[in-house]
Amino acid sequence: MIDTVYFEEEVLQHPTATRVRKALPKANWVPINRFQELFNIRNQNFRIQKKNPALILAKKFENFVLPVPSGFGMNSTKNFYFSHMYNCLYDCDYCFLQGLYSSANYVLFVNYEDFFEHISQTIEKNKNDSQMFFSGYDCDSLAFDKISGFSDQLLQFFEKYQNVEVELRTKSIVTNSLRKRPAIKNCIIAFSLSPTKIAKKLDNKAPSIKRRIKAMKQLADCGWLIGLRFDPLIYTNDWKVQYSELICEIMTQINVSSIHSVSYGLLRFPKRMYKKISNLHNTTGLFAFPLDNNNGVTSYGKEIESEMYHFIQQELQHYLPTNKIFHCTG
Amino acid sequence: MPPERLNFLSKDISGDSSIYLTCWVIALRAEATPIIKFLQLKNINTQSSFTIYANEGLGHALIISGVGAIKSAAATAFLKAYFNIKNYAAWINLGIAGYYTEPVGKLYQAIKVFSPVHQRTFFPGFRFSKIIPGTSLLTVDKAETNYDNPVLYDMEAFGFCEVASAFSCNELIFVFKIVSDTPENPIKKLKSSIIEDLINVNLRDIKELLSEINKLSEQEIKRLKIPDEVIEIENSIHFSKTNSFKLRQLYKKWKFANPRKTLKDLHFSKKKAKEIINILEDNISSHKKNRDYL
Repeated sequence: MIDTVYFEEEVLQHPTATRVRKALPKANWVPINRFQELFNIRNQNFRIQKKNPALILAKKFENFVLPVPSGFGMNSTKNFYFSHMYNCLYDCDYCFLQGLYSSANYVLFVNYEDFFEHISQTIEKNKNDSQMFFSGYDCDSLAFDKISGFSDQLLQFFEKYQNVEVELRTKSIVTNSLRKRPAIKNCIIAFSLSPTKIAKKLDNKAPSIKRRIKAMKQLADCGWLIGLRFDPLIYTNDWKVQYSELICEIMTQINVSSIHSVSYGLLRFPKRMYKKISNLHNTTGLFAFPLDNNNGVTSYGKEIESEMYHFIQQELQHYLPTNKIFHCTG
Repeated sequence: MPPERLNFLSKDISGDSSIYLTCWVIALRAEATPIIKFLQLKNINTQSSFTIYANEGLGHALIISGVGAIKSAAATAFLKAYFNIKNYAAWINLGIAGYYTEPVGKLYQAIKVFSPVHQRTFFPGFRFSKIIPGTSLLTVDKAETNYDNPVLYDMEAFGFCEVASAFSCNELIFVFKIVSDTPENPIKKLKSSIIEDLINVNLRDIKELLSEINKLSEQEIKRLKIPDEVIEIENSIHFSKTNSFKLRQLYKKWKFANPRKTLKDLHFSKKKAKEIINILEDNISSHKKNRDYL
């Protein structure tokens, strides 16, 4: 449970802040000027902070909607992402947020209305293109929802734009609020998945794969479109068996018609980010693997990458048409 | 060996027993005395105006800074330099403080430290909210008598944070304050014996805090400490800064793959830095596909 909430004094009266106050009645509330004075402190220790992150309530002023990195999108011509929150409740060893931010504290931007305003403008500006919006790039889309109430407002907003797709990426099994409402056909609930053995080791604090699959099935049964995200693919000595079993388990439980898309991508980091993250982890096996550096990107290297891509692609094609399968490189 | 009652502070670190893992910066002797007694610290002759106490076996060092932020900053820097304190040590500023409300004697962790003079803020320390409450603190130039804001008032924490945060990560910098005066119990009444009592009645919580701080420092040691066998090689063969960094990174990977081996098994004698790096790289890469990295 979050014990401390730092809040920008300006946002205290915002309805989102009121909601958070109700959700966290026992927390210690500490006023700050701007979130950066706390979030961007030099010489923070992400790993120690991650043991007990605080919540920072802030107002966002710019960069509400951004184009996704190249290689990240799927079928749409124009792909954008937005981040109402920085950092995640879970603590996955491979998470790039450890390298992106120096703080493990959660930042929640309370002014959702400004996000929606900017998304509207973006939709209008690109109305002649197919568009997809991604939530869950800098956080988990649903894990914090009981406190933030973000997804409910987001779905109400996107209901009005049936020709635009929105993806909520998550590892969370807190799907009650979604199941209580009618499914929205332009919304994809995309689950990040790894084989059980890998997830047990690396997806710290996240729900088990079994429970994620169960949550997916419940949502699919309620009519929601599901996304499967095998990203990052993790190499181990028996990865073929593990991924094959995982894909089989999912496909036997989820009806193919409920699956909007599947994407996969290998473990990859910008070189400097990898250096930062691996310095945070002393003993984790993931960072003991001798990764390659090519063009500023640290990854498993061409040989392993090629082998994994081909295998995963083939496995997925046993169950799905190729137009639903996407190779993510961004 | 520490006595049994101090076992909770024993260091789970192999080798170097002279490491000071916990450094105390305390303004007044009356505030320091209970800690000196509790941790069985011995006076160190520094031949300077600073008074230092230490217990090498327990890994604790304490400096009496005197009153004020500048003195606190100077004392923190002196202690760091005097013992060559490493970057995985925890730093603690303990003392008394004014507060806007009762009760006197309550221990707080200052999680926000602000200086009205400098108009700057620190957010020190991993928060131990399960042990003691956290609150904001103002470091002021003169003892506060109005208590206008719902915060603690002290005269040192800002100076301490400014310097200590350059030595260790922010999560290992701690400010703990015990309420000594409030609007109902103003500062004029304070005597040394009362101050000692205020610290003494909180020793149980302080002990619990130290146990948790010790765990954090140990975690940092495991991450940051350079293994003895790596230091040995770096001392015997010339490594440039870049090669030294490479060696240390490669060593971690090599050790993961070869937990029972030592570098001596690779017969590095008479080799150059680059050759050593190549051998380690080859060793790590061979069989990489067959190893279980989980």
